[in-house]
Amino acid sequence: MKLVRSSLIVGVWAVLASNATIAQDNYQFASKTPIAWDRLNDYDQVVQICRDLVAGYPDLLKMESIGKSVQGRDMWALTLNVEKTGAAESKPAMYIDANVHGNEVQGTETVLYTIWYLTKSYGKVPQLTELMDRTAFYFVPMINPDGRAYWFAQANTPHSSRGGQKPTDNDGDGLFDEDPPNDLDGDGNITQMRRLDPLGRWRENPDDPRIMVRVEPGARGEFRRYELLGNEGIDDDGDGDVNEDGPGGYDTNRNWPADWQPGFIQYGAGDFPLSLPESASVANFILARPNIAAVQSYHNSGGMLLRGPGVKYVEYPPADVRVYDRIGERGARMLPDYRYLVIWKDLYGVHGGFVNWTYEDLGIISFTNELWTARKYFGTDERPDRDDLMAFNDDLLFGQSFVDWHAVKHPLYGDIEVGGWTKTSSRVPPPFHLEEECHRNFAFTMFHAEQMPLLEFQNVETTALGPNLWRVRVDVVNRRSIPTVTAQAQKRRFGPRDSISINGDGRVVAGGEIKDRFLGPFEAVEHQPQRLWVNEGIPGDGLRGFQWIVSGAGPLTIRYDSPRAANIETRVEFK
Amino acid sequence: MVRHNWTRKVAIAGISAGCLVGQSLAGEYRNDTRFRDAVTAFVANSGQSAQASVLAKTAGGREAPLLQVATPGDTPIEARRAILLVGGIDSDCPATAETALDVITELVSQAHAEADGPAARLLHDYVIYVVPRLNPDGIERFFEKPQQSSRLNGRAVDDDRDGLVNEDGPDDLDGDGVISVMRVAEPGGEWMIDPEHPNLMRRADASKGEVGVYRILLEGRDDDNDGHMNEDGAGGVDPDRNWPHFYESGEIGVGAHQVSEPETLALARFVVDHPRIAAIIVYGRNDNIVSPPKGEQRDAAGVAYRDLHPDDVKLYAHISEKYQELTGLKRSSKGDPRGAFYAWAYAQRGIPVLATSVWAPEADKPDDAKPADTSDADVAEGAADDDEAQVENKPERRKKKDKSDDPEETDPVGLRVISNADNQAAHGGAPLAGEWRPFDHPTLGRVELGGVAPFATTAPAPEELDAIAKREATFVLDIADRLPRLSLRDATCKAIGPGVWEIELTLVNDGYLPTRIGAARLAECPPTIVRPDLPPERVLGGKRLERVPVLAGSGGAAKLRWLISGADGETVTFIAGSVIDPEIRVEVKLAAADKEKAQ
Repeated sequence: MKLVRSSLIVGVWAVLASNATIAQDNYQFASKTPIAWDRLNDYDQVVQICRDLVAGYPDLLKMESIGKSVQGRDMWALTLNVEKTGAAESKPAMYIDANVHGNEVQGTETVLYTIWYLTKSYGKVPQLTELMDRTAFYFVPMINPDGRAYWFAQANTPHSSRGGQKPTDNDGDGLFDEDPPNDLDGDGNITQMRRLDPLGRWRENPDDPRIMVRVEPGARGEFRRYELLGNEGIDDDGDGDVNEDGPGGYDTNRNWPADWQPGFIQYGAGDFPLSLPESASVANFILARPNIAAVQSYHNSGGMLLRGPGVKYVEYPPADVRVYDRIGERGARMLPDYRYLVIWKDLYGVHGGFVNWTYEDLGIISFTNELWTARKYFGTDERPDRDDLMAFNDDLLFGQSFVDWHAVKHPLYGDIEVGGWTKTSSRVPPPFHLEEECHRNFAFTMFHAEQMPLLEFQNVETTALGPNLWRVRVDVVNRRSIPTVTAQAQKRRFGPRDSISINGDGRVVAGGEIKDRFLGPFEAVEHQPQRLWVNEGIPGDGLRGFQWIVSGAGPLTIRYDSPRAANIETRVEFK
Repeated sequence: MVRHNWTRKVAIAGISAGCLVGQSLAGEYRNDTRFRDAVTAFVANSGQSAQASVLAKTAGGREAPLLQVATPGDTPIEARRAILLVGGIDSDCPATAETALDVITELVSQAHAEADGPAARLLHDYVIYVVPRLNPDGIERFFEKPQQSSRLNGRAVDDDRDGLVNEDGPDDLDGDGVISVMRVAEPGGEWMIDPEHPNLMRRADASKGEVGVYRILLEGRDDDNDGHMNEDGAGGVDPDRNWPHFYESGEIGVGAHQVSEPETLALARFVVDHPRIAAIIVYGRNDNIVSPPKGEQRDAAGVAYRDLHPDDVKLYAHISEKYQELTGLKRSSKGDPRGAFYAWAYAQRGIPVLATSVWAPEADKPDDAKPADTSDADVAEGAADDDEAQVENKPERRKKKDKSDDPEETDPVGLRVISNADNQAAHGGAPLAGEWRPFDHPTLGRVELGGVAPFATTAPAPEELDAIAKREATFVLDIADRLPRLSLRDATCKAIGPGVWEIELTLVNDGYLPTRIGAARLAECPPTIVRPDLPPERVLGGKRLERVPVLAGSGGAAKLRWLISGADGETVTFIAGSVIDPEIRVEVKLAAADKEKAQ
């Protein structure tokens, strides 16, 4: 990573400090790019918002396509970087993406909100300005563009369509996507089908006829009996199964290299790791940026801050778990309805998940947030029951998220009725909640980003040992919680190692790490004492000391190099 | 589907479509340029039956060729079952590239010589794909000076993570054109001179009171003066450790992730996109035919088998006998499935994969049951590993390998293989390192150079190549004979009501292999589907699509039954097939006759 002059950061900070009072008094300043946060945006609208943000803040934002989706849509990445404080690759960076599952859409708005809030805050909000001056951000708002486009443009159930749009033979008949659900009433929702049937096992709930309940054995009285026929569909391929081979049929978030397992072990894994153009493009983007020191991925739903492992047999080193816990527990406070959980233990088993890859193979502290939870409907601790869901629909959404049962003609079943929850009813927040979701999650990622390594030299001391012979010692201090090299990154040998070097006039006679600050000699290395390799990096909220014996008159420059921190340099004079 | 840009067939005067020419085998090792010329010549001499394309362009800028060989016939090529031959994936075994190209050349010649012989039938009934040289970057090191055995491709990799790439590889210190083994007398060294073979070394067994006195390294110096010898040499990624089955994530030389290399990615896509590939033969360092593995170890998820699926063990045992009989090869280096192509294609794609090293050096003891093994490439990698461990000061970083599973760990790495005299004989008198020669090393002082020469244990003499190819060609014919062969038989038609017919059909597999081997069933390969070619409303009983997950080999059968509507005298077609099984059809005449034989 290239060098950032520490004096520059100090300079900017000084200017900002004088404006701090004004800035903090007024956080309602406008963005140059006004965006409404009460709506969800389809693929094209998101691209336009990205373009508008770049147009509004050309000095801070750059936008590039990092690849094409299966259906040929661009995968847009935005880089937020303050060029005057150094190139993006010279700073620790946070990578944030969303929408790996096609129907988990509001993460994209959260990413857009993040860009929007950060750009408008630069130079106005000291805390964020300082963060932007020392770090960089990479955003990929839609890593499954086809899935997003499909969710907005096509009829869906409250839980479809999760994967991408690569045609897939789900039923092993040699045909691809030949029997999707069919929107019988053309209302943009795939709801349920029911048919009057004197032998049916279902009836309307007497208290709310929209809700279907089982007929109790021995039930008396007059009521209509129904058979439920599943999601709207017509058996397009005439094979006797309805909706058994819809669009796609795989899971883009099981296609990543860490603990990847084939389809017969992990549903939807794809033919091999990174077999999809979307995941391959994202992986190439991340692998080409060794300065990425934090990762956030947005999903829905359930109100969760998730970390790996995805399976029981993978273990995370305790030192890294402590970092995770510090960030995750803080996040659970910032997101009061969210819980900080471990994927395999608290949710379900995942092989080949994205944040599993970025942490387990690359050693980057990575979170998946599952945005939105029904616990917010009425502020309850537990998920509300079905009556509560209907009450929320009626009282707060004025019935907009439920399609009442109504008659349609079905080619196989004849006269039937369709009705049920709309595609936006479950996994995405209603508009009046969206902005709060965006803001709190954005704030959580800022806390995470803030924890990326921040190095400084302390206790730089020179001692004369004899004529022309000096001892030089220095502490390298990390002022933040994330180490420059996580325990996992070290274990998996990812990326170049950290090093500290001493250069200038004179000869470096010996050098090494000071293993104990108070006792004993330093550990002199056998080779190349002028550049010491620091395999374990500088721990979070910690330090490491180094020492050299140098012959000569100086001056010398000491420099600490780390891929995931801004490099620091200091000059030593002998007096 | 990936569309391959097959190169235009070269028009040769006097050769008409489907006409094959007898071609002689090269009997030599060909470097990259000459190998590609040989591929072009092979295509030119194969009339309309062979086409070549570039499977992948490697990190080193070389081309890995792909051949498609089939004579025209009634069945379009994409509808036929296919056999894939893969060679040159392990660049420490350069002969395997020659074998792959020579085998197909031999088969084409045989087809030319005998128009209705087995080779002609093979090319008429099936399509043969050949990827003869998957790792051209690595194989080129066989031809370069100094000669060095390596399994790595040409990708620039910073093995020791110091920000520099390939800055400290082995060096030809004595200028003899070969990277030899270097032994350094050193207290605490792990190695001792083998008392039975003074030119050979083996690990000292302290539990038997043996004292190790040597450290073993590849010939070289500490080029970058970091205290570690040869820790970051040329390359690369081993294309045969880069596959998703039992992938050793995070190890040196396995790639940034699975199928990370252009050549492995292209081969993965090719296999995925060609589900009619019914068998793969891999010529390389791994073997699962001469010594079929028996273990039933499963992966971390507890589902996939590391080696063979239990249902396939007997099939492999039988094929093994046949292979040894046909080729005379009775010794093998065994196989290491971790990240290997042959293991992936078998375990995750469910394809019968036969892996062979095609050749093994003579045993130093005729009754030695233990296979002779590997080359100094192991020393190179082993040495780098040891050094890395020191660099990192974290010896526990490396997973403890199961030694009993790992021939490379149990056999003294490539050094206790054959005597120098045997070396000479095997290589037709080519100069080989053998005697240990003293050498004054710039930093280590007095050392000795020698050991087994690169490739001595992995590359047969050029004169042996033709015979190897001819033997392997017979095995290709044998495997082709063993593929599943489906037919729809014994159709019966019974009138059970006005315009209602009961049809019974039997789907039979006359081939030796089951329609889906055990690994294929575990991998959920799609079933064979049998269906009447009728609109849904005419299928009154039975399934519109009858799914047959598996038929055993050697006559395995499934009886199928439908009730359909139709007119007396009408002919109804029944179709069987899948993305894996070529389509077959049978016509059944609806007639009151009790038993109407299918045509």
